[in-house]
Amino acid sequence: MKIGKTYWATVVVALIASVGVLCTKPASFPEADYDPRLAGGMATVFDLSSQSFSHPIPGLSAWDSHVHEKGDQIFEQSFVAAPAPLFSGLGPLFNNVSCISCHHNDGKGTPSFGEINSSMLMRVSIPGKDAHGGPVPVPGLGLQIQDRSILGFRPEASISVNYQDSLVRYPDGSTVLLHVPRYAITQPYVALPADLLCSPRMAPPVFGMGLLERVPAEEILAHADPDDVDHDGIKGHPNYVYDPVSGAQVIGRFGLKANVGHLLTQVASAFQQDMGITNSVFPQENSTLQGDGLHDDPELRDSLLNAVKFYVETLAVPARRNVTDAQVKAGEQYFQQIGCAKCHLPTLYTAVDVRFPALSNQRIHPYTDLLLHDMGPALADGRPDYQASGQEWRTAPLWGIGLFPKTNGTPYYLHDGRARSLEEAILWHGGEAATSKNRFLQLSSAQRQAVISFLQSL
Amino acid sequence: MESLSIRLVSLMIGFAVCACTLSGCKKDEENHIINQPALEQQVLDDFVHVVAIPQYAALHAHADSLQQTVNAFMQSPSDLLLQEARNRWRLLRQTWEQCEGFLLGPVEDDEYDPRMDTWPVDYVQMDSLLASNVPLTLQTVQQLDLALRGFHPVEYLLWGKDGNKTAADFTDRQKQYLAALVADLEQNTAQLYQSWISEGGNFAATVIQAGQGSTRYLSRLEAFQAITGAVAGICDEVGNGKIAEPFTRRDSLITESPFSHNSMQDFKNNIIGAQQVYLGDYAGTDGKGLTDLVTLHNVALDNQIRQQFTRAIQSLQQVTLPFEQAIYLQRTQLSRAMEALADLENTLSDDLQTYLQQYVKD
Repeated sequence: MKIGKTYWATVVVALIASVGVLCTKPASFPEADYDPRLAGGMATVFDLSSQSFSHPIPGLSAWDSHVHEKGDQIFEQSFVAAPAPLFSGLGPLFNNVSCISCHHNDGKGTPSFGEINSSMLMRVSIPGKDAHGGPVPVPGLGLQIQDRSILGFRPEASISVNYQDSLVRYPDGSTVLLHVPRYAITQPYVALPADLLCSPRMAPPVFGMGLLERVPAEEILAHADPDDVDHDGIKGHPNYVYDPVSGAQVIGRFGLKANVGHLLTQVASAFQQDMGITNSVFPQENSTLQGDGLHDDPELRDSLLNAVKFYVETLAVPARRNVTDAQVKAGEQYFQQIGCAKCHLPTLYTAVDVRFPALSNQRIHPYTDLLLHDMGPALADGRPDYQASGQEWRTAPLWGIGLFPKTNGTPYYLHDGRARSLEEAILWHGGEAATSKNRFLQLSSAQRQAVISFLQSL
Repeated sequence: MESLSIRLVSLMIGFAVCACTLSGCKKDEENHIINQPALEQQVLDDFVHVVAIPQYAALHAHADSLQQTVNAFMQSPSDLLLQEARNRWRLLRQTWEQCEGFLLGPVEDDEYDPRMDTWPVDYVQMDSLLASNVPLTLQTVQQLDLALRGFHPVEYLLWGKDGNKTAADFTDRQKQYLAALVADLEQNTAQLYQSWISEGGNFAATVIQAGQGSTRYLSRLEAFQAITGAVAGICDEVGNGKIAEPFTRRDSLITESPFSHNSMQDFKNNIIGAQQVYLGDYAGTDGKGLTDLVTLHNVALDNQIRQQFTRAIQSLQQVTLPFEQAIYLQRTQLSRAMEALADLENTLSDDLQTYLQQYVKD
């Protein structure tokens, strides 16, 4: 009898255990069961060339591929002044003439203003909050300075940047020169207010957006720690922003301050603000003072707007390289040990979406928590954006960062491209990241190189 | 005991035989490996010195000669000189489209393509520019938007909207604009050439030193993948973009060189440029190309690629009308060309890339 009881108890325990196993989420599979190269899960592609950010996610249907291709064409297309038979609607005020001019090879670009390959723009506002809690536009300039115009119109201002060197010395005596930017706004179309707030920003890479849009809000919130309950010096909170497409406050995911909630809004706002091309989401020209006088708004057909949104939504993530390299593996450990991974979260999961199998329920490695963190005064722009203070930025995804030299020729890092190397980018970290940065300074030269090698493998 | 030791001996003999066989195989493989790296290096060297740099040199030479003709036309405008300028534009265009067979390096990093080859032409801004008092110099033209610079505004000025412009039709402002645009082209092609040669930006070294200190290509495999990606990319762009888009929409407004009716030539030259990279040949010089690398282990694949190149170029030649008319009147021929380009592109981006991954081990 006694044996019988034990036997049944064992069976019951075994049954419970097996049910438990059946219900287990993929998260609890052992780490070794996953291929660490699959940065975007199923939406990963293997290409080391300059085109490594420019591939569609695997498994698109023939029709979806067609829409992706269409979006790709429009993404690369230079637009021209209205009225024109084709690709009409550029300006009258704009920052650049096509998406690809700033997002070079679907990645980052060049930290300059007003040139044909410039990827920089200057967001502006005056103190306070608008009706939705967002930044208040500058009278006559709006929320962004358009520093170029079609002929016959005047750019809102000229913007220039110059750099001063700043020396960082490691405890072991070696040194690095950081490039400290100074921005100047000249020849403004209207007088600049005394309390003008400015935020220089460089165009970020656009791949993997479909995956990030599908990370559930609960997953983002699970990593937030606004009151630093665990006393590790790292807070992290989401941005909540007004979304004109849904007309609701939503969690912010895109933009360098997570100030945009949905991809369609991001794409539509880039068309209208950066290129002066009106669309159904933003049907007004970007300047109130210098309209084009034409009654052609919205200038961009919805089918094209949606195709471009679809294009960035379905751009795959490049695979990691050299994942078995000893130095890379050591660097990954230091990355964890000195606390980088607390914000640059290696792993997130996307929600189920039956429409896109490659984006659905994926285990991805974006190295971001999509949260806002205080990055210290050196990186601060001093311009609040919804819940983001003037010192806070969204943790930048690190996937693909090792490929920037290939996709961009000369790579630049951080929100305004001030860092010319991954090492410089690390050394700029402050605020909540100060402890990790200081631990990085304490590492030996070989250990620091291992961290860099790890980043280059992303 | 005896039987056990016999078994042991026979086992040992067996191992020895196996080991011999294995080392024999290995030696054979090593022989291949000893020759292959040298060939791989030669392919990279010839891509740079036989194909890329001579083509960029030719590109600059053609831009220079177009500029001279336009300057002569400025001095004494005549229909003869106008015709000469158009011919030289076509020659320049031919070389440029062939150079598009390898869109990698400075041409991509430093935006030479958009600076020289943006379309469509921005009629509104061009008209307001010509009607304005803005001085039309090289310096001012280089400040203009991309759609107001490069091949297509030059084409528009040389041919006019309907392709029947005469020397007498040119206004002074148009002539000044043309001269400045051509000077801009000349400067861009000079800089592009400079960016490759060792006395200039030396992108040549970046390719040649792949796997040996190149910051861009950490292995020769990476360089080959980049070159193959560029070759496949242009086939894709011609088939799925430049032809497919106007063809599907039956819209002759969205063709690339509409004023000179040069589009079919453009397409053909793109594929010839890609073919030159694959073969490692240019202007009568027979260098080592990817073809030689593929022949090492897969003759059938090499045959297939070479045949598909030939078929793609021939199928483009079957289109006898200007593209603007062919999209209405020669749809069968265009369909066949698109099919041939798709086949070629698939083989390059799937089979050739797989082959490289399998066999280039550096």
